[in-house]
Amino acid sequence: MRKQLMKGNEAIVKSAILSGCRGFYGYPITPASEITEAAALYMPQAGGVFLQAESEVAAINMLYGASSAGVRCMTASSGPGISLMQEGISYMAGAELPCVIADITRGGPGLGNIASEQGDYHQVVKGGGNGNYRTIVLAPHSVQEMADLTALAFELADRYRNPVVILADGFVGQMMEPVEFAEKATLPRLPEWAVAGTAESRANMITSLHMGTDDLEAHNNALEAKYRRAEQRETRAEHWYTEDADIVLVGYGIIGRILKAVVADAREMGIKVGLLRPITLYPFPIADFRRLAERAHRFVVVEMSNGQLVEDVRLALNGSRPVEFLNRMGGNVPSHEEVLKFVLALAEKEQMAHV
Amino acid sequence: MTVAEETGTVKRDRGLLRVDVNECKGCELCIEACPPKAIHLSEQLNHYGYRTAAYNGAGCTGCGICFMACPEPGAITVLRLRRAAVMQNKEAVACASN
Amino acid sequence: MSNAMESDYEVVHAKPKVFYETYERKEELQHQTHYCPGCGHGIVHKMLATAIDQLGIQNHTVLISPVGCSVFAYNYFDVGNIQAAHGRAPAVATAAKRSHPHSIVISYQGDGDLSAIGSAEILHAANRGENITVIFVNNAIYSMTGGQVAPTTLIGQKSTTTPLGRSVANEGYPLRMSELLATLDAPVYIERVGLGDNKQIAQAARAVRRAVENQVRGLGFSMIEVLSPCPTIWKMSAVDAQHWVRDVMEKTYPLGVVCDRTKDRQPRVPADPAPSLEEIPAILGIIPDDQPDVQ
Repeated sequence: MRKQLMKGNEAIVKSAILSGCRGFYGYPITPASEITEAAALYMPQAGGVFLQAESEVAAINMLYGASSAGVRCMTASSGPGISLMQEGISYMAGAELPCVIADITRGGPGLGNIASEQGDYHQVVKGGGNGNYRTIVLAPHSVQEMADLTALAFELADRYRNPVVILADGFVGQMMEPVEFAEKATLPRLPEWAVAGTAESRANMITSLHMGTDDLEAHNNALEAKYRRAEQRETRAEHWYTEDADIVLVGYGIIGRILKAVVADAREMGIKVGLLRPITLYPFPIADFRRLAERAHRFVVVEMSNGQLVEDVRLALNGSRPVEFLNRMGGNVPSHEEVLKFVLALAEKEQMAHV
Repeated sequence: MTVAEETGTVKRDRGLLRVDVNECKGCELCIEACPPKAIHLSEQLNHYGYRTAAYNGAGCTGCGICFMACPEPGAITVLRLRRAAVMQNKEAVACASN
Repeated sequence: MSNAMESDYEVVHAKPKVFYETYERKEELQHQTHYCPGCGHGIVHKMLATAIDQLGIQNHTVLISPVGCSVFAYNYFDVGNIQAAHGRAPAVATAAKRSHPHSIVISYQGDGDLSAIGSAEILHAANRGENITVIFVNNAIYSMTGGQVAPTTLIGQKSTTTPLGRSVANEGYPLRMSELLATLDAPVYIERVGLGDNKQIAQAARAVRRAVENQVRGLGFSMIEVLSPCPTIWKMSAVDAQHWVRDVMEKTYPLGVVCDRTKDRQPRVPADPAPSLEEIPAILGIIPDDQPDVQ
């Protein structure tokens, strides 16, 4: 298909429909409303169901219903709305229901503001709902990735029968870039576990309730086994000039774009800097970090939050290399000059240390 | 069996009640509901220690109200005389009254 | 009576076929429901099962079970089952029905589920006129969690969270959901029934059947509110609890048809068939390689 100029928020919807998504249940919230609006326009034309729910609580429960019926479904929201969905997300993970949830983040906590922040990392990566579960989290940094990772999200959701979150910030949602879509539209078959109002599916049941303690432990073990499989097979990260890097920058989403510019500038100054950009935030690309830690001296995590991604980086490196941290909050974006200054100062310290 | 019963000349009840003794929980709603009061609470305890509903043995009209009132899906089964047997019954009654 | 005479009888009322033979999903006592002796749920379950049997829709039925004593309804009904979060059954039902319009989706809820935590979901499902059937079992208290006050609890009625009795000043008035929802334009049939005596029980069975039938006919949103005894939490015998429904509850919650618009409603028209997959890219404005750029 030809490349077209498009907003990230629109690309998500088109990619979803091409991937066979036929249910969108959403609620407006800045900066994600365009996704719901695009779905309102295209979903019915594609033969799917669109409904603006009365709240995010209702929206996620509609996803529960549509997913139980075996339909590929999605919603889109921002931080405060995702918070409301956490009960439903926990239920869907417990009931092993696939769905895709786009979180186009904004400032927080609470009402915060409508500027881009990266403060939802913990909420979606560590799981903001009750109980033992994880959500797979994909973090696009371009409109093309908004399209590609949406298609991947539906695949992973079905493969692991689990909710998948597309974590983008307001920048990536609002930016306009060329994007190329998949060649063909696909529509998966009805899953054999779905409750579809047919004779074949009559015996099926969707529930997250397991009253017996042994029963629930066995169920939790089965979920954990799924997550271990995902951890082994589904990590993705972008390595940008990391092969010979002394200093590795780490960031996701819009920060990834800024850090690429920093890498270019630093390299021009002769400093061997690279970028490791996690694309899956869960499962976290631990192996990528460990591999780089064999050679790189320092890691610099840059985030628009109070320090959430950096905790996972520290966990992954397990004390093997020092981790520096640079952050802005409130929707302020670290400029690439700001980051470059930080990196240069670090590099100087390194030079002095080697003397 | 009496001669009357043996020769089929006695009027039989239109209905017949069966209680699943171990499904019944002895709530007594059927006893309350039964219009001809043909159900009582048994002195016997079932396996779970409930006194259960029990048919008196006579008087059931087969109305089915006990079935509707009973909260257990399968505790009560109501039967009714088949058509042929109903006709036979009427004849027997007619004979007996001669 | 002798066996010869018993064969003259035929079964006219027996456990509806829609119930499982044995309740294998239960851990123990698989021939018996978990409901308390005299609980209204069992009676309503039987009415619902009978309606499903009579209408021949067992294969198409999807039962949404709530959180409450009837969370385990899926143990008993041999139909498609979806267990929903507390209060959310109408939202789950909305999407299940819209995903498969041919299915018969039944949202079965208690008074905490429907009138408290789920009040937004039921309001909007009713307001959108979702073509579903809602069975609302109202026993004026929260039973499963041990007897806390519900929005439907009567004034002066004691509960574990209103130990001195529900007061208007603190808890407000009992919520009449049937009347509330009947003020909306969309609902097609709302009736309140009770399990207070034989006549009421017969009417309740008719109402439940009607509400399911409306959905089969594609007419729109139907809700039956069933005033139901709870002997255990009310601390009464089953028979006394039944009398309390008739003599006390019904003073606050009058029985009757609250709205009936079935004569004015046309059956839903099925949606247009979905476009073929080949048509999708064009619908999305996605341009194939072999075509020129569109301005």
